[in-house]
Amino acid sequence: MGKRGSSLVVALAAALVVPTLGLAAPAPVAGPDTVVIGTQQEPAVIALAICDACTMFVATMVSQPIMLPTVEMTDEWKFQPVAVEKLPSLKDGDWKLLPNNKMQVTWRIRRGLRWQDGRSLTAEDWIFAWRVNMNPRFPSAGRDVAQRVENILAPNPYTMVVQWKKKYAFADLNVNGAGYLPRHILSAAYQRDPSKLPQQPWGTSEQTVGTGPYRIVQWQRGSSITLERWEEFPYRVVGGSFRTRAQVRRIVFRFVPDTNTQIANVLAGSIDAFDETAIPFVQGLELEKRLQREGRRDWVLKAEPGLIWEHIDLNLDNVHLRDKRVRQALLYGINREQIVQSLFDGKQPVAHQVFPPKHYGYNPQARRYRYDPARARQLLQEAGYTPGPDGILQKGGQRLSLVLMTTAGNRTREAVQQILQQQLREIGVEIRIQNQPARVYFGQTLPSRQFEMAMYAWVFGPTADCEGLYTGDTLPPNGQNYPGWKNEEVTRICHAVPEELDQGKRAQMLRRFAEIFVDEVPVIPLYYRADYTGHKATLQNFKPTGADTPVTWNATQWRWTR
Amino acid sequence: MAAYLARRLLQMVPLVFGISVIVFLVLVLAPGDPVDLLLAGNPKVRAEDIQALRKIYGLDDPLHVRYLKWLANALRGDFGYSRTYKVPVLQLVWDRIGNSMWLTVPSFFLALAVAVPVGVYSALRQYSAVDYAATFFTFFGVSIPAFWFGIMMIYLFAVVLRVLPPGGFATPGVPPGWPALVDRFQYTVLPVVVLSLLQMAALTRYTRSSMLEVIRQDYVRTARAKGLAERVVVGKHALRNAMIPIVTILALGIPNLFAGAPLTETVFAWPGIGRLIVESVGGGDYATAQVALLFLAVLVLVFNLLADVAYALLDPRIRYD
Repeated sequence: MGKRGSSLVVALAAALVVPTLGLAAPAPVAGPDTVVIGTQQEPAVIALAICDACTMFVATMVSQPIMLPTVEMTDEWKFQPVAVEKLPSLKDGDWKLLPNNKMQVTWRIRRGLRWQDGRSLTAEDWIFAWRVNMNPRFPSAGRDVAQRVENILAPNPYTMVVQWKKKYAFADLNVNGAGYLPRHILSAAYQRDPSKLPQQPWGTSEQTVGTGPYRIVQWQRGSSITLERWEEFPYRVVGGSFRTRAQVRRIVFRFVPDTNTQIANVLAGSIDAFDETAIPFVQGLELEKRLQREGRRDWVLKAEPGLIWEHIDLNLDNVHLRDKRVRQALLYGINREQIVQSLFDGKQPVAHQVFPPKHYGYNPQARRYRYDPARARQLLQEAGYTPGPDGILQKGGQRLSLVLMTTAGNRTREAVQQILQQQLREIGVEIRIQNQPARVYFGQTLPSRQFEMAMYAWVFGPTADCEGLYTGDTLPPNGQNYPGWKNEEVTRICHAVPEELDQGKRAQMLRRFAEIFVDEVPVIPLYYRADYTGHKATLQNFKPTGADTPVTWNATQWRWTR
Repeated sequence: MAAYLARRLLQMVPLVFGISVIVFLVLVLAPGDPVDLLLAGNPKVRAEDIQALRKIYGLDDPLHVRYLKWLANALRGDFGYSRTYKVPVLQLVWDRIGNSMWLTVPSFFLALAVAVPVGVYSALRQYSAVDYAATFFTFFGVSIPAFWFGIMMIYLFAVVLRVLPPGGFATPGVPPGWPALVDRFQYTVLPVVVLSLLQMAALTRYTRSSMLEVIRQDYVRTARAKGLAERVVVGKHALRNAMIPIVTILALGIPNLFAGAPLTETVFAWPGIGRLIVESVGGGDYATAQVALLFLAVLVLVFNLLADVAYALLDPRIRYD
């Protein structure tokens, strides 16, 4: 190697080392002006009305500060009007029942709201969004509410009269099932080709003009999205949490796909907060313990059990599982309390039915299956099972051996599987574990019902019901009734719930559903998941909802204490 | 040589076509199409909407029709839109390759700058302390998982010492120009070091063994016998010949500079092409995965050809007719 070669080595080494030595880690984003939120995924779009194939949760998180909601849900699960003057009600007469089960709901938009390009936000924007959503050439996977609407009229720019084809329980929370879109920006592109609307710069880039107190100023694909306070936002006009003038000037969403790196960001203080998706529960629990061990009080971590329901679907076409006694025996044979204590420190509570105690349809009187292996053995004996030579029960020459599947690589689920395998072995049931990548599992195995026992989770909202999941006419491909449960009363109840306007009666119907559910056991409820969120102790009013509304719902109320 | 080059380039045409068919089939035959995945989290979706979505995305066409439609568009320069990123695929892939090269190019040169002198010195002082240290280091580098090493580096430099950022690509809000460059540089250091370690280790071994072989050759002994200075013997006679296989390895490794490094990019939250490929395959974003994988396949072909040409240029004994 000649002199030139040596010089090159020295130059390269110097180039790499010298600037590093003189500088601390960059941190211009920290401070009273900015909140940096670590999140796991990047949204494909930041406008929910064109979110055809995107991750809805993260898209909602980014869009909430940019796009003013029509109605917002608080951390106490209360609904407040934001872009509209009030929530319609039967009592006030702006929600009317018509003959033939039809309805008419009148909404009044607050005057003075406008898009960030200066145009007024009017009824035309809601009507346009509904028309887009209902166009079969527009790629929408969410027409279940919009298709209940017959027509929307606008007697003036700030009044919408929504005519419903049939009763819908949440017509006071949802104008049209589609939100609103900037007609003045998207109309021409929509006329050209509705299928390409999700590819427009609006909604997918910095060119997104919103209506909220923040506007998007930078989108570094794969890295971060930066929002800045929109100084002309009409705070005096709006309702809900948006009445408060935004304290934080800038919100940065930083996408960190790797959990360990996310944790390093927390420990290094490079982010100010992290959302519900950033750190899985088990790692969040470890992080919380570590911070406690180190006596660090600069971070506040919360894990509120929410509406994510971890469970095992049982395929009711299976020769063993079609017998209710076998299903009940499986539930008696699993010590779920021990699972949640040993794996989650009890922070993810045992689920005894579909909906958690915070949901209005929760049934506190519904039967609970406590761990009782003796009762499990007795039920299996009644079902005609006798012990085989290897200790596994059998009936008619068929061993009671079942395949339990879940998403490969999910450490928590794999740990639960192993405990279940051990516990069920004690009552004479053999569990064989066969896990698959999420794509195969959710894309093929579940929709084709090629499973015996399938562990996964459903994410519910506070207004969720049982339609689609447990109605007898929604087996795949017509819905997600993967267990294949066909119960006439349940089907009737689940279809009727969304059309029952009285919340009390709805709750009663869901409680009856819960009774039948826990008796029939088409699914083994495991636990309600809790998502960890965290923020620096000096960041105030960071309030996760524990539901499908992400933590940015009250971004205008965030503030730093010195 | 010109005829050889022309022949090889012509051979590439059917090869690229074949690769595009294989890539397409591998992607679309994998279980679970994008609509299935989309529905997994939506219990209220209607059957007719599922059918409509399949039609809009062109998933209801027979396989050959889907491929031919893609090919016809691609030949017109239209590689489609990324279904998950909502931007033209070509722009997305191009941007991500650019991002990856921020890591791969410096790591390549860093690896080269360390590996060649260490490998040469190691060979010249075989069984010395330096040689043993280099051997230990190379085995360490080859056997250590990149993601683990990355996390350890983040822990040390970002969490404990707090001198470098714990992953990311750039600090939002940093003004463009010199401050942005310095900022980007800080994010680059750790992933570059991690990426280069593996290459460094392998290259050191190659250089050492190649050099060991060459310094025992008669012409090197002759050079020494002629009384040439050791620096000339090593630099002019031994190293030049030892570099022939190394150059081939380097040429074949260049496509990797464009392919990115999925694990390192994921650990360091770096928006590179490697991470994009993994995400697009997992998320059923066929248009993106197809173009990215095809592009990399073409690069491998091109650099294979260049390696062959480099052989002929470096080694007078090799001639292509």
